[in-house]
Amino acid sequence: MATAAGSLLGLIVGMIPGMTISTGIIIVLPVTFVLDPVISVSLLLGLYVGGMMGGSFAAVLLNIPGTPSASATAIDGYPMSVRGEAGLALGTAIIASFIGGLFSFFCLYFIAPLLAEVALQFRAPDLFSLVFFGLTIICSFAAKSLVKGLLSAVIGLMLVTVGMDPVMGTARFTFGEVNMMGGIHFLTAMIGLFAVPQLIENLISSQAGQSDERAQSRIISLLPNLKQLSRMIKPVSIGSITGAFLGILPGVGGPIAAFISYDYTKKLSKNQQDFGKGCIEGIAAPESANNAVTGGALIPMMTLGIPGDPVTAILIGALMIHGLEPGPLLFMERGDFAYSVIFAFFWANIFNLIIALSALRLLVKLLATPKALLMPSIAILCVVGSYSLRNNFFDVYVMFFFGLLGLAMRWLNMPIVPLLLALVLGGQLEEHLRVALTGSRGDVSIFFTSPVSLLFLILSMVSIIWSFYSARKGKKDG
Amino acid sequence: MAVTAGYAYQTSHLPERTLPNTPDPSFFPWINTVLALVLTCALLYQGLFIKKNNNNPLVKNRKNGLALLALAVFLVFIITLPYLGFILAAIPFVAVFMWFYGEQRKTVLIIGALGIPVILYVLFRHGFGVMLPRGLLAGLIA
Repeated sequence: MATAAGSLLGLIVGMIPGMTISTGIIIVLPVTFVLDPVISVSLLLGLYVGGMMGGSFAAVLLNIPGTPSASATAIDGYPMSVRGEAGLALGTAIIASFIGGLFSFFCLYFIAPLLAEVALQFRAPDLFSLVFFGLTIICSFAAKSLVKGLLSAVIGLMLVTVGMDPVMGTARFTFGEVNMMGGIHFLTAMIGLFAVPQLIENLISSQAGQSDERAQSRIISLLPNLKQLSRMIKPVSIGSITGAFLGILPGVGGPIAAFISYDYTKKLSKNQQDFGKGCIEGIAAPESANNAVTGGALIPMMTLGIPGDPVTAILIGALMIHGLEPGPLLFMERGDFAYSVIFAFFWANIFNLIIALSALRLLVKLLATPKALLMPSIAILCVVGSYSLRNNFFDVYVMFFFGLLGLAMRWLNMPIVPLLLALVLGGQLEEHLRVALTGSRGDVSIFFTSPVSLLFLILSMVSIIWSFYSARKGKKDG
Repeated sequence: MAVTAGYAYQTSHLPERTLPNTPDPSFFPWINTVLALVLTCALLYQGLFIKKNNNNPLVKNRKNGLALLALAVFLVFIITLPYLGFILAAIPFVAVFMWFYGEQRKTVLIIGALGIPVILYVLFRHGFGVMLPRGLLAGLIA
């Protein structure tokens, strides 16, 4: 029951733009102090898994991702919603999330020790190359206007350097402002970049008398038919494997896995031109990936005591509150608890599926309220969400700044996704680069002598070349 | 280009570190500066010598004045929030935004303007424990 309650709460938290899974877990955490450890972790895991799925609902229906991991889902989910296929989009997201989560459960159960050992071998050059590989996906999203896309990414990398230097702690570009020492919170930027332009766009369209197809669309059918399910096989497979593996690597979370999965599904598809315009493959791939990350992130947490993402870092804290130390000894000394957690994860995915499919129409009704009521509420939620991250009004101003930036980028036809990716990955990119160069004493060949690093660099080059080729081919065909 | 120039200027004033074989704090910003400069020049070249179609509806739409007004109202809400408190700042904001979005029924406007802030305040302050500012109502509400 705790898992079910957590799943429902997670779905609601995930749906609300600005209310992140981490925030939801932190809020629920005090409640778990008085509960049994297994019940506590079950509740939190349910929230974790539910939140990952819930983020896609707002992404599909409002084009405002409820969580960072749902950013990729919005690319195809929202166009489907506008077309009147919101139910199909949401059903695809739910099923893909469930399968991705289930896959990662089996990984967690069977392969946990092996996978954790492989991931531990990654050093700074390997991590740098992995993150660089993630950034090359930007090229895919910048294919229509490569220069603007790359410039958008570089702007993101420039913004990432605001705050404390990750290696030496030097204050950079803070202009003496104490509030800027902590840097720009990615979530604040995400809320501003997505939500504010969307609010303005909705306002303009409502004033222009354009019909509100989203608000009028009904959720007719949630379940894809057999043909649509067969189309989901490849993207869900790619997403599940990608998410489970990437989830193991510390710091590589849902957004990265979702975008990588989306990118490769698109590249391997025979209908690349459909991506971005509303196709179920474009939803299935990132959704299966971001839920597969949840199980993957639990692997290093359970076996090594290393958090795979911010949420698992909080879960480690939750375990320690109950006197349990995550790590290899957990399986030896408290094997019953360890496997209880693993199976709680399994049930979280099951309950997620059941609750999402049965309560979706009710939950979606909340989002189908008139724009005049919904949009001001969302604007306020964006403010509250930005404020609640660090209880600091400065973050609200930052959110507004990014809102203006997002608007300016839309007006200038600059893609926002590259900037978003750069904000997510830029900090890690710099840190791993500098640590690697420090360790090699300035010798850049370290990136090529490490087999793992070389592999990711080669994949990066392939990704870039393929993006150029696809773009040129698209122009010739068009 | 101006942004790139400003960024480069600030980067050049970052402190240096004397640790051997260790990239300075300015190492990564300089990489960004070079990339930004190259791409800005490429964009300038494209803008001057290559014709582009601009079909962005936001650019063509003549309601940009309303958009700016909405942004101004949003900004006023954000600025007044710490001083007036969440509820008092949100009430006029919600009313104005509802009107912008086409709601003209006075009853609905009043109910929405009062109800939405109060509901969200109770939800976040007492439900989620987010310490929203009470502002001028500090002595009146929990």
